[in-house]
Parts: sequence; structure tokens; C-alpha cells
Amino acid sequence: MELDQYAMLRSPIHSWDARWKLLALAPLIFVGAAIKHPLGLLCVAGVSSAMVIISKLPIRHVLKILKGPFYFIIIMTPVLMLTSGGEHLVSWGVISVYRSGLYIAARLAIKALSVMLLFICLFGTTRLQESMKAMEFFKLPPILLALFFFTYRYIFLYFEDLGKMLTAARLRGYTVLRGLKDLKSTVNIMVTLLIRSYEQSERVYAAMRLKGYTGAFPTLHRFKTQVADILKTSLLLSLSILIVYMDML
Amino acid sequence: MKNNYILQAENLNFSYPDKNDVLKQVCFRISSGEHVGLVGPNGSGKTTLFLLLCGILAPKSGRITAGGKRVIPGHFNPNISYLFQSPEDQLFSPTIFDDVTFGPLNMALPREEVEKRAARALEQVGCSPLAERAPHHLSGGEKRLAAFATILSMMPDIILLDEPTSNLDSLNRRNVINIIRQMKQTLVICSHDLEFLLETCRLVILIDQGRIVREGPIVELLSDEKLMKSHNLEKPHSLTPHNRLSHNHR
Repeated sequence: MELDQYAMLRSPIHSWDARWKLLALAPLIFVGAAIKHPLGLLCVAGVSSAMVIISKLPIRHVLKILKGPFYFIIIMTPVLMLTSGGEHLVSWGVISVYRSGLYIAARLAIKALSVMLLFICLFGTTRLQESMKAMEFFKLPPILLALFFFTYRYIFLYFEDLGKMLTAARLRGYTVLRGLKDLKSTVNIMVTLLIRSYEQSERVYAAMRLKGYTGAFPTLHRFKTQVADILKTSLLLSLSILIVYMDML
Repeated sequence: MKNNYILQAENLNFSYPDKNDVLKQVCFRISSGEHVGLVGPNGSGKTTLFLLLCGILAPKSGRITAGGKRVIPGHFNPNISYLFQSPEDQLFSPTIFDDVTFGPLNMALPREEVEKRAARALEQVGCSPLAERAPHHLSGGEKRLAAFATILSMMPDIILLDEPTSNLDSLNRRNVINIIRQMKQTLVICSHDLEFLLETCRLVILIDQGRIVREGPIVELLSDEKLMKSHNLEKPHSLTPHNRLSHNHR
């Protein structure tokens, strides 16, 4: 699955200049993650959902990306509901569901999903090369950009490699249970994957140097600011400021 | 006096920190536009030689000249390109188009020229429909051809190809042969596929244990059964008179 698989669609979110989009959405992501006020939180959730709808990204694609945070929420919700303490909502013997736990779990779920939706709007509606260029424009450290870029490009390959190694190990009697008991074989697989990825990173770097890489990621894309970009950005920045103000009251 | 040699290696020596004398006194000269095969058993130093020729590694001693200029290790030299054995190493961008334009953009060419070169390179290898695809979604053969396009778009004078037919099916192998035969650039091709070299090269260099053992016309050299056997190589079938009994596996 590629994050920017649908970056070629046409929508007001897609046509938004990547630099302005980053300038508007990055603060909103931070606000969404840090906000405590329930109304502010609902506001971020509403904006992020509306943006995904406006972007016309296929729902199946969005749900696929949300799968990871969704599993996290599924695991965390019962833990928080049963362990947070405070006023009981219901009780079955020694097991109690706490009101505060339910509230924290709901807040966590809304926060995680809202932030992820904004993240999808930011990186799913712009080609990765353009997003990189926009981050470069805001002087993000090149080393961080390179890390982001290569993680995105090679993560699939390493999962594929890991899958192949596990298959080869399974054919010789390796099982997850046995692997947990005899950690040596599991560690060996991980170390091999690490060494292979290190060696490959050296070869990739050599290939990049041969093509003139000096730390920047060149692209044919040219940024062009339009009035609509400024308006969209101003609107979202004002909203971010308003939510922060609301939270501070 | 100016000579017609586009690629020259003089007394190259190289050692890895954990392996000494990987290359010993390697010398050769290659004329402009020549297609030269590089053969030798596993571990004979072929890939290391390529890494030295394109300036990724620095020789312990010796000198490499490409296009009349000394190859300085670590310096960007768009006149010499190297096709890695694994296309995964060469395709590092999110799409094939980004990869094909990566080199020309770093050469600071005008936008129109970059687009023209990318389109031409993709067309040359038959990968135009794959331009917007992600590398990890391509088949092995498609990846190999796309990797080829990434170096063709730079229009180098010298191209080093490391096992260009490995893991290719017969159709894709034939595609690669056809592309190479049409190329006017100077090519050095390292391969264990000797039949492929017979179809694409006129000359060959035999390397073993870090030394150049022999160089000369490919048919003549690969026909020397004694020489080939003594360096763990096999005379290609096409150079052996056909005998039905040779296909009888009883």
C-alpha cells in the first residue's frame, strides 16, 4: 500500500500547493494531538473528516491506513476502561468499568483517528517527491528527510525479505512458539535482516552518488501559490489558533 | 598523441580491509563504442573492478581514465554509469519516472531536456507505461528494464553492466539483448551468461583471482575449452558442434 497512491486525483485538497498545505496541516496535527477541551477535539475530528471527504480519497484506501491505529485503539480501550480508577460505571464482581477510563479511551480514539486523517490528507493527496520538496522548503534537516524517504521506499522490501526468511525458517521446522522459547533463531533472523538492509543501504547510496546525489531530492515539480492556497491555509491556521485559545480558557 | 581509448585502467591494485589483493596489476584499454564482455569465476574481482571504474571505490594504486579524464573516486561523473546487479539498489524513488529523472535533474539540465531524456529512455527499454508505477509493484524483468532506463536517461558515454540478464525470463532476456545491440555507447558487460555475451560483445576480458588472464575476440577466447576449464568456466554450447548425444541425459 502506498500513501500517495491517489495523489493524482482532482480535489481542492489535491490542488492545494504542498508548501501551504504543510503550513496549514502540520500545526493542526499538533493541536489535534495536544488538545484537551472536548469541543476543540470534536472540532479537529470534524475538520479532518470533512477534509477526507472533500479530498475524494477512496474510503477503502483510508480505512487500510487507519487499520494500524484502529488496532491500537482496540487494545487500549478495555485496558483504560478497566484500570483508570475513579467512579464506577458498571461492576461485575472484582471487574469494574470506570467512567473516567471510558472518557480517556474515547478521547484517545478521537485524537488518534483525527491526527491520522489529517496525516492522510497531508501526504495522501500530494506526491511524495512534492511533499519532500515542501519539507525541504521549510528547512527540515536533510537527514530526517532522507530517513523518511528511504523508510517509505524500502519498508515494503524488508517486510518481503522478512517474510521470505520466515518461510525458509518454517520449512526447516521454525515456529513462532519455538522461536519464542529458543530466542537464538529469532535473533539470527533479525540480525540477518539488519545486516542485509545495511549492505543494501550502502549499495543504494552508491547508486545515488553515481547519479549526482548531494543530499537534495530533485523533482520536476514547480510550486505555484494561488489565492485559494492562501485562503485555505488562513482558514485552517485561524481554526488551529481558535482551538488552542478555547483550550486555554 | 591522442588515442581512441575511452576507458583505460593502468596497474590497478585493490584490497578490502578483510581481503587482500582482490585486484592485482589490472591493465586494459577499451576503444570508444566497443562492447566488451568481462568473464571470470565467482569472486574473481569483476564487480570490484566495476566499482573502481565508476569511482565508487578508490584503488590502492593505479590509474583509471574515462573519456580522457582521470576518474576521481567519490566525484560525480555523468559520463560513466553502472547498472547494479540488483535493480532494487538502483530504483530508490517512489515512482519509475522519479528514478529516471533523478540523474538528469542532478546534472542541472533544463526541465524540457530532462523530460525529453526520461521519455526517450523509458521508450527505449519499453517501460513508458510503467512511468508512474512504484518500483516494488513491478516484476523482476520490469525492474531490470526500468533500472536500465535510469542510466540511459543520463546518456553516459560508458556504461558498466553487472549481470544484466540475471533472473530474467527468456523474453525479457531477449529484450535486453536487443537494447544492448542497438546501443552506440561503450559497454563493459560482466555476466555468467556467456551465450548472451556472444550475442552482444565483440571482445572479452577474462579475469581470475584479481588478474586479467586473457583478452581478445570473444568467439576465439570462449572457444578455448582448455582455458575456460582452467578458470572454472564452461565453453558455451553454441560454440560446440551440435551432437544429439550431448542432449541424451541417460
